[in-house]
Amino acid sequence: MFFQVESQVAPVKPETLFKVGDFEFTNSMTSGLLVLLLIAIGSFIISSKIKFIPGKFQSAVESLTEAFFNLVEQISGSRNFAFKILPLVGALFVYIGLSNLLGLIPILSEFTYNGIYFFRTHTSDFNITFGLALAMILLIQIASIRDAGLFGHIGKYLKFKEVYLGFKQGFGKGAMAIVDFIIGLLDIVSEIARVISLSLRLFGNMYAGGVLTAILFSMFALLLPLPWFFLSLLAAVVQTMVFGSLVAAFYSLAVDTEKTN
Amino acid sequence: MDIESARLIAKGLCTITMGGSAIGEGYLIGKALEAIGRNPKMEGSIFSKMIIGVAMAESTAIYAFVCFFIV
Repeated sequence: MFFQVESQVAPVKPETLFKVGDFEFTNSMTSGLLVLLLIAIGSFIISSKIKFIPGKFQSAVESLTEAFFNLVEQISGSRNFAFKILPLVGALFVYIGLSNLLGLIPILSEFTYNGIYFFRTHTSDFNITFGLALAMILLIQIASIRDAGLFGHIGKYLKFKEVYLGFKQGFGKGAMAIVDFIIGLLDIVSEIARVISLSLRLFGNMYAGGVLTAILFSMFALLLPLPWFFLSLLAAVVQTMVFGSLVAAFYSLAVDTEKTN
Repeated sequence: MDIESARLIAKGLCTITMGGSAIGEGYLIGKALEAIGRNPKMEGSIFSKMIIGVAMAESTAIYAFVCFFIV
């Protein structure tokens, strides 16, 4: 058929391109390296040509940074704190955004090597999103330990002190403190659930985009995939914003934002 | 019942999740439009927050999609 383009639905697991010893080099790593290269070249160009009166490229980057800063400030509610975490969240925005958008470039996704697609969308590999989410949550835990001390951090989950203080005041307060204690235990579960939900959200959206594009191409090419491409352009940007702003929100919940200066 | 047919039934059950996600998104967008109608000056701020909320509501459907591929 003229309107039906044969396109292969990518498996959930990334495919191995070649092996270096025991290390498997998969096709999502190549696009990750491409993203890293793009970011490195971009930051090199920007940092080597900073001018007092900005050119077109510099002012575009500046307004982008300002938009990131406003978003982070809106979430955390403190200007100083937003300055502190902007490097982390901004790097997440750039990295995830570029790797999401790179998967939408039509020609790039057609390169093959030994019959395997050479560039798979970087974030449609669960290993990478899971690693990112785990690293972010661990970083937030470390920041919380640095902010409140080791015992203060453990005290956020095991609220023995509140129970003791509550029973000192009376039985009713003590019973409420026990309820708080159980909720604190549930917070441990919610930390693990955060890792899973953060990583699955990004992975699922990007992978679903790829699968649905392949299915639409085999149904009615030329016309049907076009609106879906616009929709996945939106999804790529929105998921980047969601990941970055959730990390910023978790960070500002874990750390006392008023204290930082 | 052999295992393949059980798997197909499970995949079918996964698609029911679409209903819940659709209800959530519809409610969210409806409320956002109501808020814009009351205070049209805030449209930009409300709209961007609505988009983030819709993406969060959609992620439940995405979890089901991941389950769809696991079973």
